[in-house]
Order: sequence, then structure tokens, then C-alpha cells
Amino acid sequence: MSTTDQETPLAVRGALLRFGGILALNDVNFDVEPGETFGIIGPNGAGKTALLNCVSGVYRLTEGNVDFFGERISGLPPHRISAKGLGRTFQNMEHFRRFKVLEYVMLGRMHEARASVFASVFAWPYMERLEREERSLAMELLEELGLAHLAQAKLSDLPYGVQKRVDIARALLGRPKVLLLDEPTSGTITQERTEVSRAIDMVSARGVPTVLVDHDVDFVSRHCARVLVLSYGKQVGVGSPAEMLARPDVIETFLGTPATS
Amino acid sequence: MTTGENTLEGQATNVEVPPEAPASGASTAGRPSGLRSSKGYRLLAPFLPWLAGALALVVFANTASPYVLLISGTVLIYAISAIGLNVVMGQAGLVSIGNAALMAVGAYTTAILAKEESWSAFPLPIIISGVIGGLLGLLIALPALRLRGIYLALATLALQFFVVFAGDRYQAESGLLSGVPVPPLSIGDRYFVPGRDFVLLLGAFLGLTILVVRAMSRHAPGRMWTAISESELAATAIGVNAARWKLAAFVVSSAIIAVSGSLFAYYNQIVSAETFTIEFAVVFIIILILGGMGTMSGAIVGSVIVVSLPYVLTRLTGTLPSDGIGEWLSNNIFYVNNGLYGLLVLVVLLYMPQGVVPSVTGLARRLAHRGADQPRSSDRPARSAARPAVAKGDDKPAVLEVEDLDVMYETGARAVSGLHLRVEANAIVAVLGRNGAGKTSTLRAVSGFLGTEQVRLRGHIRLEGKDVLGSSPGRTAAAGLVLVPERDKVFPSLTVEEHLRLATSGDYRPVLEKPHFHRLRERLDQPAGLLSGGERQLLALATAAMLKPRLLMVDEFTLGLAPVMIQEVARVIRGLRDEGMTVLLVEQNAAAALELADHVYLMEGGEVVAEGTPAEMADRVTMTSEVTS
Repeated sequence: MSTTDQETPLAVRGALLRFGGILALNDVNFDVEPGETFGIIGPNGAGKTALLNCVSGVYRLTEGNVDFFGERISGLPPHRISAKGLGRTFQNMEHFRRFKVLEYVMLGRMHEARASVFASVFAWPYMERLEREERSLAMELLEELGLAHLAQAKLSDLPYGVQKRVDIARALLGRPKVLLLDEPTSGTITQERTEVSRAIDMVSARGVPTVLVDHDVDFVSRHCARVLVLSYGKQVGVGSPAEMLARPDVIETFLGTPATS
Repeated sequence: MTTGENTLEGQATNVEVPPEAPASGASTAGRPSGLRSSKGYRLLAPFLPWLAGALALVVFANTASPYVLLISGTVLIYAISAIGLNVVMGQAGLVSIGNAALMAVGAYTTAILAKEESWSAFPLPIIISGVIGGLLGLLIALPALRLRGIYLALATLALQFFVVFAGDRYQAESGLLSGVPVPPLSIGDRYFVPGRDFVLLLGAFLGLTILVVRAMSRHAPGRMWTAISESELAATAIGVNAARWKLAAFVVSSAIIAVSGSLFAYYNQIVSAETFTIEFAVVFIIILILGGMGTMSGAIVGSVIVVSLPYVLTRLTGTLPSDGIGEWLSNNIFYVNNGLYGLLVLVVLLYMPQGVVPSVTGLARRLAHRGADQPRSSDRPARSAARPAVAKGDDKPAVLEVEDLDVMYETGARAVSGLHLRVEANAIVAVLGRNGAGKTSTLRAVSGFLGTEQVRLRGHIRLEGKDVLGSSPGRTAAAGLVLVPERDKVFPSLTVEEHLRLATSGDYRPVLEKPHFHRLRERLDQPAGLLSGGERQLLALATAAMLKPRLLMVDEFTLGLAPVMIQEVARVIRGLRDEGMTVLLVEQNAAAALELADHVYLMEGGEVVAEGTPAEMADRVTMTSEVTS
């Protein structure tokens, strides 16, 4: 199969993922258009996060391809994919609890920084200047997200909604060409969700093509013109939120049985 | 310089949610803002701790007794080694017991080079030791790319056996069985023997080590290592090349440790394979655990404690009477000393799991923030006052009553807030909601599986009138509460029969007579691991039923089950209720729950948004589920 054209930020073709005897993903296909915020919805266990993990290289597709601006990225290790400009956030930030906010955001630039232990020791002034530039960029982003006053707070001390926004700042600092957002609303309360929503608007305003995965359908509908519905690893369909949510098979996906109404 | 370093790191962790407090001298200088910074102060600030430390060391070296100086030299060498080990263990989170071997490599290299006229000039042997150590670090790092935790630790131990063997052979062949002598360190025509000058020199080496490691941990490498130690997979997902940075950590760490070994050789003027035992390697892990993993000040404080403890002990026994207990102590000082280490490690692990330094700075921070924290806890009573303490004057007694329950994870995730829930006797109550609504957290809070350590719990949970909030799972189980969890509900290696036997001291067969558990009868000899998802659910319910619970809680029984099987399990649950059991279900599958329950709560974002009979709720569930609006 040939790669897709270079204009398409992200193209997933025939994605299939098998865990032992379980088909976590079964023939998933979609394109993300330039500047678009593309939604992926589905109930718990539908394979949404598995799909993101395949795109970002954490899992390896059993079959199928992922193309990034016409370049095949499926099969590459995650840090190489990330270096090409594919950013992502996490559903759970429990991995990085030891970090302070600013430090964590600065992780976002890692692949660009010409960092090495030798440079840090023997070219200290040069690295220090780079570091300062990165730090001020990170602060600008935090300011834009209204989080600048928390720069020195520990991540583990902050509410989930704030952690999710910090994670978005971290991903943005890497200047991603495509951004994957994994369940930005999970574990948040209503008010926090509004703030996360504003952060996503900020991402869209920058024109970064984004894939938004979430189980909150209202939330996804608000941000995306097109959504993909997943159910048990299978693609139920792709279309506008209104169109998709009117379909009986989609309703069934969410209610578990033929609709009662 | 050690004290200067301590306060500096202590302050850096000091910031909780400050408006714009400059964290430390160094970062004030790095940042453009900051009102109190006159130009001179800003230029000088980063050097102040260093100056203070150097001054303190000079004063110390000139005033301390020769005996104390002798010990201080060892402390400084251990501190350098521990800082090296800390790069791998504390920062990158990779367990290593290769410390003794790496020090031995540095020591032997130095012993051999110091004898050669052309190689012995300072600092050549020390530098070469470091380089060889770094190369060996590369070698150790190779298994580290694949192994983790205890397996990695054992792999690093392999180096220990090689090095000790090689050292033994070398000593045997050159006829130096009691050790390889090392000529004293000389710079120009100045000789260094343990004492004031050597302590100052070692202080300079420690300063250099701190400088180098700080340069790395303040910049990108430090962040990479932290990220890897937190979660390697997540780190690679955001672009960290884990393999490369793990390699770097091992190389840097091993080079530093080998340098400390080289200094160790010069200091003791003899190198013997007997010194570098596994116990010796473990001492450095103890140093890090005691002082505090991940901080350089912790490594230094740990070294001070571990090295000076035996001497302090000897001093103490000297002041005791020379007969009786005093005599016994001085005869057994070695064992007492080791016993004390063990005790110390235990106490630290139990009461200061992060180590001495972080605990002390953490305590200081808490004391400083105490005033600020107080108003926060007072918003609680106001809120519960707004609601009547007792919901309704119902005549039917409630088996479970949950009032104003808040569950907040330490990660900041708010799982449940202000929850009210009531389960009456002999009823099936269902809590509906989608993934992340807080259902499972509620169940876990009720059953006591949320240790109060990682979770903040508030409110009331009454089981037949008794408040069980914060009780252990054992206590709630004794009170008659049984939970069938979503996963791991059976023991895969035990057979069905063994499961049933576990649940009762009497005869388990009556339960199988019930029509709904018939299926299990044919499977008595099979290990539960071979059962289907539905059969596991049946087995878990049968075992739970035999415990005759006051309240049976079932978490997501439909998960992963085929529709037919859902129907069958639902029949079992209804059967149990008809026999008098009270059941609390937590479900995502609205259809199944509505069909089964007498009363339904709908949860969203950690709160109950609606409740009612299944008939009333059917519309509501359809409306609020993600499909419309």
C-alpha cells in the first residue's frame, strides 16, 4: 500500500490491533484534515486509547498503517514519532507526579533541545541560555492558559483539570504538527471541564490539527466537526456529531442494547 | 559546602502554590523578575552557598581533631560515591548493586597506575579511573535496557563477582595477598596523607562532583531521568529516548563512583578485594535510603550518618562503666552496630519513606504552611449544614447510608463529591453512570479499599447505623459487606471447589442446589482460571452468597459478557435478592441495570444527578446519556 499524500496530517488505514485472542481494533480508517479537530468517541473499552497508542507508537499495529504528512510512521519507536512532530497528552498524569509544573512543561521540548550530559557539563553557558529560552517559552504558554502562577507547584498537588491543561501546555511547547488529546475530561468536574474546553479552543486557534478522544460526547461534539464512533474496536462510522448521534447503531453503541425509547 | 547545598535544595521544594516567590538564589538570578534583587546580589547569589560551604569546610578542617578528620575523609569519599549512585538510583530510578565493584575498579586502576612512573602524576590515575568506570557503566547499562527492578539489580551484581575475582587473581599473581599498596597521593612535591589537607582536597572533589551532577540535573538530562523513573513508557511517548538516557545515567554514575574508588585507594593506601564485598555495595544503598533518594544533600547526610555511626557508638561505650553492660557492648560492638543500621533503616522506611532530608524539609514546609491550610477545612460544615442530616423519615431501615461523601485522590482527581446514597434492606439498588463517573470509587470507599493514605475521604458511610468510613476492608467484611469486584474476582489457580470451601467452614453443597448455580456443579474440579467470564461471575456470586453478607456489592457484572450471559447473571442476582439479600450494583450497562434494580441512582462527574425508580429513570437515562443534546 502506498503512503497517502503529504497534505494530509494524519491518515490511518486498516488499523488492526490484536492482544492475544482479542481484537482491540478491527479495520479502523480515518484521515485528519489540516487545521481540523477530529473527534473519536465510544464507550469504555471501545479501543479509543488503544487507537491513540497505536498512532503514537506505544503499541504496534498488528496490521494497517499510520501516515504522518505522507510519511509512514507505524512501526517507528514512540520517541522517533514524537520527534517528527506528533504530540500527545495523557489520560492519566499519575506517571509524572514528581514534576513541578514548569519542569514538566519543559519536557515538551526535549526532542529539540540539543541536550546531552556532556553539553550540560562542558558547554554550561550555552545550555543555560537554551534552557532560559525554553523556560520563557514555557512560561508564555502557561500564562496563555492562565496557569503561570502555578509554575512552581508540584503536579501531584493540583486538581486533575489543571493537570490536564498543564499536559496540553507541555505538548504545545514541542510545537506539534499534529496533537493527540487522550481523554482530557476524564476525572474532572464540570467547572474544570470548561477550562479544559478553553484550552482546546486555544489549540484549535493555533491551527494545529488535533485528534480529540473522549467519552464525553457533548464535549467532543462542541469541539469537532467530524467524529469517529468506535465500538468494541470496530468503526461504527465517521460524520458530523449530529448526524452520527442520530443513527440507531450509534445509539445502540452507547446504551448497550436496542434503545428503550 | 554541604550545608549550603542542603538549604538550597530544601528551598527549591518549598513552593506549593506561591504567587511569584523566587524559589532559590540560583533561579532568582535566572529569572528576569524579582523585586529585591539589586544587581550585585543577583550576580553573587548563585555563589553564596558555595562560598559558605567552602568556608565552613576550611574552618572545620582547621579546628577538628585528627581523629574526626580521619573519619571525615571517609565521609567525603562515601558522599561522592553515593552521589554517583544517586544519579542512577535516585534520579533515573534504576536499581544498582554494582557500587562496590565500580569503586574496586577505580581503586585497582589507581593502585596499578600509581606504581608506574609515567602514569602516576596527579590527576592522571583519577581521570583514567573515571574513564574506565564510565566504559564499564556502558557495559552495565546494556542489561538495563531490557531489565528492570530486582532483575536489573541482580544483573549489576554480576559485575561484582567479575571484579572481585579479577582483583583476587591479580593479588595472588603479584604476591600481594594482603592487598595492593598504593603510594600516597602527591601533587608536585606535596604529599597527602589522611588529615587536614586531604580533607580539603576531598572537599574540593565533592564540590566538583556536586557541580557536575547539578549541571546535568538542572538541565534537560535531569528532567529526562526523572521522566524515565516515573514511567519509561509514558516518557518515550512524549519523545524521550529512554535507551540513550539510561545509558547516559549509567556512564555518568559509574565514572563518578570509580573516581571515588580511586580516592578511596589513595586515602587508605592499600587496595584489597576483601574490602569490596556485597555488604559494601549495600551500604551505599542504605546511605541513599537513609538520607533520601534523589537528592544530593540526602546522599551527603546519609554518608555522614552511616560512616560516623560506629565511631559515635564506640565513643558512647567508652563512657559506660567497664563492667556489665558496658563490657558486653564493647565486646559486641560490631553486632550492635549492624543491628542499629538495620533498626535505623526500618525506622526510616516506616516513618520517613522518602529519607531523612526530604522528611525534614517537608516538615518545615508543612509547619510554614499550617496557617494557610486552616481556613480550607472549614468550608465543610457549612456545606453539610445546608442539607438535612437525615434524608427522610422512612420506616424501612437502611442497610447502607452514604452522606456527603467526598473522595479525592492524591493525584488531584476528584472522584466523588457530596454523594448521597441509600440502600434499603432486601432491595436491589443500582448506581448507573459512565466510565469515570465515580461509581467504582464509591464502591471502594464503602468497602474500605481506599487506604486513607492516598485518598482524602470525607462524609459518612453507615452500615446498619454504624459509621464505617475509613475502615479497613477486613473490618467492613466483618461487618457483613462483600464486594464482587470488576476484575480479579476469582483466584485463577484454585478450583471451583476450593473457592467454595474457602467461603465456608461447613458444607458448601447446598449453594449448588440452587438452580441458578447449577452450572458450577459440572466445573467443580476445574481451576477458576479456565472458566469463562460469565462462569467466573457466577462463581464469585456463589462464593459471596455463602458468606451471607448484609450487603452484597457487585461492580460492573455485565462487563465483557455476552447478552445471554448477562441475562443469566441477572437472574442469579434477582434470585439472591428473593432469598433476602440486599444488593448494590454499579453499572455502565443501563438496560441491564434498569431491568434488575428497584431503585436507580445516576452518577455523573462524581455526583448523583438523578435518582428514582427504574420506570422514572428510563427516560432520564436515555436523555442524559451521551446520545442527545
